[in-house]
Amino acid sequence: MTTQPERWLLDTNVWVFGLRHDESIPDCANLLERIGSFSVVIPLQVLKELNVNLTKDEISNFYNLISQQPEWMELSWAAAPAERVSFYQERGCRKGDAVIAAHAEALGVRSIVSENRQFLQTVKDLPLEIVSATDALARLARRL
Amino acid sequence: MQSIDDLARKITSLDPAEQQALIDKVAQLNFQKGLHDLAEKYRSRLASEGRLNIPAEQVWAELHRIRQEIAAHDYPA
Repeated sequence: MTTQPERWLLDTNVWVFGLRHDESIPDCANLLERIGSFSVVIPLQVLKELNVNLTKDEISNFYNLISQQPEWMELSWAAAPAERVSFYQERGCRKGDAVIAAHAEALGVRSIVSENRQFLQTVKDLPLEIVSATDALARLARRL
Repeated sequence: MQSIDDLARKITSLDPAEQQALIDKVAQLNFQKGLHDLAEKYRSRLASEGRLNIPAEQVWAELHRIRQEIAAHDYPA
């Protein structure tokens, strides 16, 4: 029996700190190196944020990479449902984080990988879970 | 070093499940190489702008600002 790979939404901070190889959060880079052993969903809000962080040439490289691996890299250009953004805002998320949570829900993703501590602490008792890159790596290790 | 033909013969002698696992592994390694190249390009650009070694807190502040600006624009209510 084969186990389906985990399907995670990687928050922008995981991409940015991972690509920077930031020594304060090394597991972001470690997690990016494991893409393929889990699949990734990239929603519109994350795409827009990456567009600001990367140059035109860099984002073009990024899109090329994604398009080569549609089995485990999933792009979504759909806006998050506004009423679900409000739902998460009413439960303590800042608006931007609420957009990410609403995207995850709309795309059927149960787990968001993020190093955003406020986000990690806010979303409780909800159908979504927010896990750190370290926790995500530990989860992958348990599946081996 | 093996020729491409030798390598192809060796691969086609594998059973289908092994072939698929090999194809998946090659795809993953190609992706990782591309991601590594992108990270190098990004880091090199940040270094040239003097922004590679800024404190993580500064990166966080910028990420928060970008997030809130985009969300406020897209969801003005």
